Amino acid sequence: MRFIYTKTFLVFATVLVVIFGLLIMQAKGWLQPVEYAVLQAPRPIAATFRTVVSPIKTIVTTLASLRGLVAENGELKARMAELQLKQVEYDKLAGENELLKNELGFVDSTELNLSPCTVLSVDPQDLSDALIINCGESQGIKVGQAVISNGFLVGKIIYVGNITSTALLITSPQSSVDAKISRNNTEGVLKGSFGSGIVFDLVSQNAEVETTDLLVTAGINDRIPAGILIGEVGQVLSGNNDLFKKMSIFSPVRFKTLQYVFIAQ
Amino acid sequence: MKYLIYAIVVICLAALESSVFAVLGTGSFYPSFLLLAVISVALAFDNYDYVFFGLVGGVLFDILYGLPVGSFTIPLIACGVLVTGVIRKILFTDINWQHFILIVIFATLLIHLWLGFYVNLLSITEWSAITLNWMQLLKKLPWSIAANLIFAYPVFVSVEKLAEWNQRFGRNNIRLK
Repeated sequence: MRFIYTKTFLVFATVLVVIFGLLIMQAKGWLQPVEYAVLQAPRPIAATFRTVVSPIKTIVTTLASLRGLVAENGELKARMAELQLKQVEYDKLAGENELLKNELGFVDSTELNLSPCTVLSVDPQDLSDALIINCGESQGIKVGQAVISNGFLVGKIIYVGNITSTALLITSPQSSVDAKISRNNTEGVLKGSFGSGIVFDLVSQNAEVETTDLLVTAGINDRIPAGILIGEVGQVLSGNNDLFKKMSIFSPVRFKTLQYVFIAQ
Repeated sequence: MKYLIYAIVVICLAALESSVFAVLGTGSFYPSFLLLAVISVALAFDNYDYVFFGLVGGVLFDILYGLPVGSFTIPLIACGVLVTGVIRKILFTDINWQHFILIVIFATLLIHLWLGFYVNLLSITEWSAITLNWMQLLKKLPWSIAANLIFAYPVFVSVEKLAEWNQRFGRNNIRLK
């Protein structure tokens, strides 16, 4: 008997029709309530697994990196002392700034209007680098807005449904965000790269960029406000003969275990 | 009752994939438990139970990964159909461990290629906002194959136990007149 006349083929064809129907419903946004419910199902079990696995991983990694930790501790102490000195200077400047603002009659305002959202799912395998959150059109979310966690940029919204939205993580190779070095306003483009890396690319070869410089959003895109912290400059990846400078960026955010984020509106 | 247990198993597999390996940070070394479950169910059960795993699990994974419906569902069911309808019935009646390894490698390859083709096609036709990077998919492929091969046997044994348990506690169809 030919394969197309078998029951197996009939089952496969029926399933394909069902999937096509679901795909149309998803494209039209009619599947949103179902998606929302489906995304809730594995969350309690996933949270339990996470609770069990996290301490085991911490113990193993701590034991493995004990020697490195001692050296790192020394480095961090030195850096803390340096930062304390900077803090004193910053406090002095902040006081002066406040005084000048008062004299000029400026009104204090919070620059970012943040909407808190719960992360329903993060692509665990770095396939789509998608982050699904429980905020949608009803909360005023729009495509292109910045997603922030602990003050750091983690992605931008690419799809908005009624009750959920999808964001693309900055680690995705498809992602690009305009950014600048906060110290000297050197501009470039922040791009994702394979393996959860982030690179600061298209930077002028003449630009002065040092390791540990802080990278922030440039604010060229009107949906992503300027000054959102992205991370710290790591090693330079480009050579002297390259047209542009390219460097790796270190972000302290653990993208795969995000639980709550804010959307900058 | 059987399908309720299957649904719980699928949800547990989704939770396992989205939590344990994400926390452990194993990088690209990421087994697809659902794919292994579908292959094992197609091999161990002489029925269409793999369709349930493929359809329910596939849709759950599509939503979980933020991908369009069909990204995981279609290749998962295709793998089940290939195992039961082609490999078991037409090519090899007796499946040994070499065949099992080949099936796992082929299925992993099929999923990766399908993901790249299907998601990017839907993105080009503006049905979906997500696009996948081919280079990223292909770089992950050897690691995914290795992870799936390592976890294939434990998953198969677990599914076989489930099949035995299902047979032992399943409804007795013999009726006394």
